Amino acid sequence: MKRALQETNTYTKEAGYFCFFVLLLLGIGLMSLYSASYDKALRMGYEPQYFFHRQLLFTALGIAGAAVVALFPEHVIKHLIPVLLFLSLILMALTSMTSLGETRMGATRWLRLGPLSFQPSELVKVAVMLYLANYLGKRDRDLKDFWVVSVPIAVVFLAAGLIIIQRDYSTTMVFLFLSFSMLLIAQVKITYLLYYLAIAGIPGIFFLLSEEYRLKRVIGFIFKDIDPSGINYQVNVSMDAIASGGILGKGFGQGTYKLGKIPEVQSDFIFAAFAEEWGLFGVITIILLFSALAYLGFRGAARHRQSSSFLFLTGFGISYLLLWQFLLNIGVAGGMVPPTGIPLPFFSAGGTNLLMNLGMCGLLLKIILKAPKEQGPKPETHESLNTYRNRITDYE
Amino acid sequence: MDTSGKKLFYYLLITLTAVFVIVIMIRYVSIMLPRDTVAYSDPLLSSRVQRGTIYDRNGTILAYETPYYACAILLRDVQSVDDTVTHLSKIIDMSSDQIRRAIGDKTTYAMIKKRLSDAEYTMLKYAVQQGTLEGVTIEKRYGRIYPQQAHGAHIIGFTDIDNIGLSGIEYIYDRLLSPLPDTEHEITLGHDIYLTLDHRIQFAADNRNARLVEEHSPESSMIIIMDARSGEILAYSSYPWFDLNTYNTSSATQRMNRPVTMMYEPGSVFKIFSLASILAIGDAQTDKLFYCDGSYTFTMDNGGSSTINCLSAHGEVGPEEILTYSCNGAISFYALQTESTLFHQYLLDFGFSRKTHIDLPGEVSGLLQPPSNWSGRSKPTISFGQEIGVTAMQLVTAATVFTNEGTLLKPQIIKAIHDQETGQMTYTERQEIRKVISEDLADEMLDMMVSATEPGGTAIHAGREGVTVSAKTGTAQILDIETKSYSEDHVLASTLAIFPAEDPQYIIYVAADDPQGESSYGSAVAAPSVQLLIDDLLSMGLLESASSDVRYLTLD
Repeated sequence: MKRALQETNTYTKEAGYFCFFVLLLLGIGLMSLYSASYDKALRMGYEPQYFFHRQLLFTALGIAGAAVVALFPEHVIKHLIPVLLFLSLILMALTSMTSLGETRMGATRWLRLGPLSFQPSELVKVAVMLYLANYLGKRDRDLKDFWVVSVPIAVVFLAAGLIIIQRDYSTTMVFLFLSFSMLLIAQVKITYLLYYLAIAGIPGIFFLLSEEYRLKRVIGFIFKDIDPSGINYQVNVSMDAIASGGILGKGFGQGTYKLGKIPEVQSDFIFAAFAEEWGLFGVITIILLFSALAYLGFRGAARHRQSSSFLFLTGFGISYLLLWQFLLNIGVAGGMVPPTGIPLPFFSAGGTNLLMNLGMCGLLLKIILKAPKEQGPKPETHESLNTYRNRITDYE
Repeated sequence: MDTSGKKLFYYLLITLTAVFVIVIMIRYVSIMLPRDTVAYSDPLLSSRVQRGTIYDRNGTILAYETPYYACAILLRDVQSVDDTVTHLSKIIDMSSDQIRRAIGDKTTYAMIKKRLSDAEYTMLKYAVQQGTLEGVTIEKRYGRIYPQQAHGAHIIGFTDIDNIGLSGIEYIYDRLLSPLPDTEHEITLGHDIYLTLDHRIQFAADNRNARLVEEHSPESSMIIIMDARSGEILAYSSYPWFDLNTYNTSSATQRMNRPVTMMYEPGSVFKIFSLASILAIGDAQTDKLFYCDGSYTFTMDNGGSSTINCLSAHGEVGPEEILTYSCNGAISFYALQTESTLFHQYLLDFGFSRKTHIDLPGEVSGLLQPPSNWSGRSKPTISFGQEIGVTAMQLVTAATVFTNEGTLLKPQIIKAIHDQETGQMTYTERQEIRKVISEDLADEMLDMMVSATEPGGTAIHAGREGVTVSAKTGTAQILDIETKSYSEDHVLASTLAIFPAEDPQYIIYVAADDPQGESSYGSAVAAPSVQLLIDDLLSMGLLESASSDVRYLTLD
């Protein structure tokens, strides 16, 4: 077997850094959540540590889950992917189309399972990403064939459709961005992608303009003075809070904007409360931590480029998704990106999101930790693809 | 596998991401680096402007700011809009449908009720504290209270629900009462305004006006009392009136500020100004008496003849008798001997056909045609107060000519402005507009006007023993706009009084539009109110019947 014959290197140092960064972000995230949400919890009639305790529980579950995922062998994961994809699509359908779905703030995105509620759109993002990595990573696929390419794109659009039904447009946009990025680097013919983007784009624009409030938000973002939906209010408050942090911040727990001024301070706008208390110093630190995390992920993924396209694409997808979720969230808080509801990884209250992020980190850790030794001829310089492929078949 | 293509897009996406990271960093640095001005960066700083208080001349409060509470829903915090609406409709005085309409298609924040009553506030506060109303917030706001209710309503004015002045002083001095926030203080204090109104006199005037309305049921009526020496308005009563605290339930008729916006033909009251002009010009042979047989027929410039009617035959009439008996024939006789352009110029100098520029919104300038537009009848008609449009404020202001040695004053409504930040008090100064007639003529006019309040005079009911009152009544025919002719029964009854005649302190003008009942003459409808107000001033110690030493409290 291929795996048995390949020698592997162990990158303990990089993996150690990766674990350290994740745990550091988790710790800062928990602290910030505690500071940002105690007043909100009180206002909602809960005990002050309500959000903190829940997040702590999910953190513990998530770390355990991440450890389990990291220990799974690659082929087990590959076998689980179709199950995961199928399960996630079913759960999405159950949420939207049956009474099991739970409505909060006008959107049906949660699946109630006894005392727990679960957000399948978080799962479907990860499942489709793994599916794409697996499908596109198989070496015998001819990605220049139109129909071969159409299958994953169909899956992407199906999943996107299911997310749109739940009125979760920001997740849809992030999901499509991630999927098409992966298709691009998997070297799918770009003209096909453009066809599909055109097919999806034209109804997409109509769709964007079809719902009044979405149009209002776009207008509010482009023309700051006209703010038909009142959304700029949230962003303006958020920016005021960030600005008031200054260089060193007001200090942990000393923020005042979280006391009822910032809406959704425990989730979408938690970064504003963080920036107020930790200042530019804290903001730069967090941006650097996330960048370092993604850098380690991209590096780890790149080491698998020749040996396993699946691991390469998965590693890239996870790093990319984590980083872009972070960037879009703080982009909204800083008034750079039209207001959307994207949670801040490791910071925002929300169990499903945290579990998924930690699960992905477990997988990424596995990808970073072990990689085959770069030995033998380099196929892109010395040998044609066919001889390289033949060589592998010989081993098998 | 063509790995170079794979790498191209890989590095492209990574570079794009890296660029975005750098852009975000720059953005945050630009937001968070301290700037020169820190205005509004602290949510607690300069968040509030306290609107200044309005006082009368003695410090009685006419308008002050007070907190009230509004109810809003933060829709994103609401689990079930239906439940919240149902609960809320039981607490505040709104039906579920009304609340739902207030929410509309909003998704984040909806204002439900802008001003809660005390009962609603207490109950809602309890419910919100108990946690039964998720997402419902109570917001503290500030509004106006007018403790004098309808008294002085048309001068004081009112503010809207957002505390922005909409009429009267509240409108004209909005920026002074509510300045822009000063970033150096937590609360910015607006300027306080002291009006020239004396609340006691205002109360008396409103009281007498109410009595006039009760007895004669006019369509509208006005009483203005002015300090004769300074041009300061002491009382300003205009019926129909309204309670400033509930202005939103008032009608446009009630809110109409008639003394400065209603233009009408003044009638015989105007004779004091036309006679003064005629005497000042001196063209007319006023030493030659006019014999009044009840009507006066004269030949116009174009050769035709025209007849002016009097109420009765007045016999031999000179200037003084014109005022005593209000003889139309005699004033026409003298007016016809007077040069038109000069006559017109004197009336303009008295302030007619020009705004008085009092600090009230919506003032009209009145109407006086230039001589080139006059017909053969115009000059005599104008001389007894028809064919000319005036406002009550113009008449009262014009009377200051007689009480200030022949000089016209500007009517004042602001006594002083108090800057709360510096503690500085700025007083409005007496302002002379122009010299109109000589001092001797002004005194002579006052003397002649006294005759009207003596036995046989038309203003006998305006007189009061112990106080010499100079007065002139008027009963103007009102032009019917639809038929463009003068109506027989629609008149405006009025009286202008100045007292004490030897040392004038007060100018009072009373006018009632379309009075009903037995008599609609100025002498019967308006003059008695003057007498009652003199009684009021005497009883308040603001006027003395022996000597005219008026003592009232001043600001300092």
